[in-house]
Amino acid sequence: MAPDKEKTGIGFGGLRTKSVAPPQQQTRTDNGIITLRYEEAIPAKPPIAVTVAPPARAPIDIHPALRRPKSSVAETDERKRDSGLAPTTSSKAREGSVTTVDENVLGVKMDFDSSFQSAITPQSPVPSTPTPQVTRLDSVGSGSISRWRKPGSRKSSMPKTPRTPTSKSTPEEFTPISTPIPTESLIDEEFLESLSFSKRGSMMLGGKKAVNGHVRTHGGRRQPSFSLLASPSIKILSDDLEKDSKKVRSMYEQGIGLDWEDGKYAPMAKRANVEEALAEEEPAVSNGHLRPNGHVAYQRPETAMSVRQEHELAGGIEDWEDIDGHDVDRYGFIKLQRKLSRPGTPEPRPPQRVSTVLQQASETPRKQRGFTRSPSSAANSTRGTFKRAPSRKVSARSLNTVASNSSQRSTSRIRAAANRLPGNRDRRWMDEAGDMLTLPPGLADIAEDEEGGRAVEGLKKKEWERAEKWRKMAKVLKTGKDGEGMEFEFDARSPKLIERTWKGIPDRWRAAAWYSFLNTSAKRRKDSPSDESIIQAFHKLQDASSADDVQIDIDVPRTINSHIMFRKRYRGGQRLLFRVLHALSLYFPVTGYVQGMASLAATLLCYFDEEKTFVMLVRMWTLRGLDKLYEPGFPGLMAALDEFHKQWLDGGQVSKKLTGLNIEPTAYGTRWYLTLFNYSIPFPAQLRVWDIFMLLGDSDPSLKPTKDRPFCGGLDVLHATSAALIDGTREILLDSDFENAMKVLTSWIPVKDEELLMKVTKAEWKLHRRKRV
Amino acid sequence: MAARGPAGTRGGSTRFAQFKLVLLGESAVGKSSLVLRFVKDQFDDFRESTIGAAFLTQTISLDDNTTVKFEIWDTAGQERYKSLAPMYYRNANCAVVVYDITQASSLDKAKQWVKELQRQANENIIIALAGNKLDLVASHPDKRAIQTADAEAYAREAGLLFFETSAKTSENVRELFTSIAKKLPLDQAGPRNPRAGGRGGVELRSEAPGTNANGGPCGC
Repeated sequence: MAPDKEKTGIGFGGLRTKSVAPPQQQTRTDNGIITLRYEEAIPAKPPIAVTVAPPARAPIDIHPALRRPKSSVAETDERKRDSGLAPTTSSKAREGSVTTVDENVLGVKMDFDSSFQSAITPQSPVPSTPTPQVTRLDSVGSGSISRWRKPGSRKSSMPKTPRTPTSKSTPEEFTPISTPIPTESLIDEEFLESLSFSKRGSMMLGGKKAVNGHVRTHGGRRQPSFSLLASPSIKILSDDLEKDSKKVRSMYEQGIGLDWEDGKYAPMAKRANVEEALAEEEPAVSNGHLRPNGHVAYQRPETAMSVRQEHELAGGIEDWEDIDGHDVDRYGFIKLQRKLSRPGTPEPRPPQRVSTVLQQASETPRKQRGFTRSPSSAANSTRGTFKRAPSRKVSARSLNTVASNSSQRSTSRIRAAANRLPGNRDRRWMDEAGDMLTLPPGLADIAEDEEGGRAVEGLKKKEWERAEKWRKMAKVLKTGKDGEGMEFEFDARSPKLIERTWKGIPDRWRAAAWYSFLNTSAKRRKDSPSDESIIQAFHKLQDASSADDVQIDIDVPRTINSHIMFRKRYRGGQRLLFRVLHALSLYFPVTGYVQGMASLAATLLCYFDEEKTFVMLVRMWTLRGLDKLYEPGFPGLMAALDEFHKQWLDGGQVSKKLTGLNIEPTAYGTRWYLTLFNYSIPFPAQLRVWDIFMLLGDSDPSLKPTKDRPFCGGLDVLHATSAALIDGTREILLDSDFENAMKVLTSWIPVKDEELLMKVTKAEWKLHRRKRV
Repeated sequence: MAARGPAGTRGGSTRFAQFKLVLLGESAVGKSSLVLRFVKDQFDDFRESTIGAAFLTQTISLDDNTTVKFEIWDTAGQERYKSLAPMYYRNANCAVVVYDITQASSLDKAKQWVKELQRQANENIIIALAGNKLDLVASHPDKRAIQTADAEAYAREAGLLFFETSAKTSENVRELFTSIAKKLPLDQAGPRNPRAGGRGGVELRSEAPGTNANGGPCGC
């Protein structure tokens, strides 16, 4: 049997025959088919998905998660199952029997969880569907698990030999499709009837939220040691989970809108939409398939939503209903003042987590320092004493320390003057860190618009100039036609580049630079998978079910939903966000999806298409320590916070104060590190931190990872930022009791002067470097 | 045993007590929304998920001369954050365990939390069970997945306070917290100590889940 023929059989006909194949095949004499007792069956070889549509060139690194049997076959089948047309077991058995493509390509040994044994109860075919083949196949394959297991994983004494003939028989089993295959089965009437939505937009099936909190049936999640490409812990989902996952995914695939008025889905009208969408099938419109770089395009069955509403712009990912251009800041966030109009959708609102003290500090005009700046020093004494701030008692502590002087006048004049001396710049930034909460001089009076309105002409001009400098530093790696999909590279070691990155990457260069920085890191490591293989993984994983889909679905609508991309339930950016997180949860099975990841993915989606976003996430996980931070049980996070505590806070004044109050970084640092400050500082400031973290977030190769330092300096930028935030709130913290200190530290910190934040961060970073040497 | 920010007389006959309260429950049942309603009297349809835990305070007056301050730790609901929970419920004087009345599985989860608290937390901890999202069943009674009577029976059996609440309409939210305050041992509280260091509550190291099972959160 020619191998390619075999592939054809599998890919295009083989599995589909399942429900239509004539029963006589069962009795056909075929030496290739042997009959085994069920108990003797060995786990089938998962069909490597590659067989379905061989890529132009062989993928070098197939991620473990992909090594499971996932094929278009499985998909059609699963759709049927969802519609109640196809039985579960049979199809899987079938797959198992079909694939022998190659021997343990991955060299991966898999655990066979004995609990599966019980799951192998052969199911009787669903009554309504005649599935004659099922019985036969069940005798060949080993039931539903076969699909998930690798041969030899079960300590079975079965010789592998019988398997080859089995597979060889496949092409012969090919029977042209004679029955229409439902492609739309997920949105049939029955399903729609049972479907509704809670007020918050969660999908409800038959009045219940699609299951939440199912126990994972496989312990893969809890494996303590996690080495990226070595341990594919395949999770086997319970039927319920599998079903939920499918349904959730189908919602995003169809982009079915909701009637927000009452939180219920309006089947008729919307359904018509979807049908049109399906009929149209115009790949160009479906936003999930942006392929700027000319990667091999995976033609997924084109169920992706393609009917765009007129206010869905930018390829359908932005929802501009009721929004004008001037309502949105340069980063796509809808401005706070805007009055709501569309009912039901999340409305932008001021961050509510700002502690009162911080709010006051940020509203008080910036104080005058020493002899500097403007003549209007009359106002200089007003700040520092936040009028309604916790009462300032002059204690012994505050009398003889620099920082407590600051509660009166921040820095002493002498020190302020000294800070202006050439060598003392860093100290100056740290002394003045508190000013990061206020707008820089010159902008304070014109910035009536807190987050968005800094687009002052002068700044614009400056940014153009800087963008030009970046253009000159960029080396073109790749040009597509018409300038599409250009890729750039920056010399990450160039001191000039590092200096300029500290100053902030011009927004138009941000995507290119971030990408290049991580790419550079990836090239330094031999085991890094290529873009292509990651993107391939991304698309393949869309067809797999994840136990986390329901949780992801809960979190997607509440992730930066004041952003123009993420407003519309199940559509646009929300859809991309879901797809990316879904793939991520499978790509890193040990970590899975954890709350907090959505804010990282959403940030990246503001700059990259979904494929590149996924590449970036994978790289951040493996090269920037995120996989460790999110490790189950959070040992990595704890180690990071500990490192910050011991090596950065370092017995300083604030540290003593916090220790005295019994506040450790674990009390406030969790969200700083897990969301890379997305939860805690304004977006422009977060981007600045990310700029430098993308560039300098590599772990130090000269250090060996130990239990105490699992990150080997890789998180230094984050530590420095944390230290800078503490510097920025120092005056308040030193004057706080437990309660206020906790509030400040867990609050949104309204950093308005991100330049100053970065100067302080850099000063902290340099100080630490010096200490380390 | 002890309000941890010790309480006592202030002025003549007024009493002030401070207690640590922790919220637990499955993801998206409305923990943060209940707190937000209680503390700021606000509501968001799409509240961002809580990462780690959030810290808030709210003070209520029980009567003319009794004031109770809650120090509230609002925790993340996803199963994966469970390992951090002991840091937050350690030394808590009271807990609100929240479930979603439209979701059967959430009560199971709530029961697990109750069990864990009763086993691991401060032995005198006051636990309240709150069935949230009452507003949803007001308009669509068929959405209810957990009958009031069932949950109530469970609460009685387990010795919990019980309320069905709506953070959205604020129904029963204040009642919930007030009834907790009334059950707390105000009388045993010591004198107020405004800037005390060494208050037992925030050693947030996670190593030993459920230390301090012997009550007495505060050494002072």
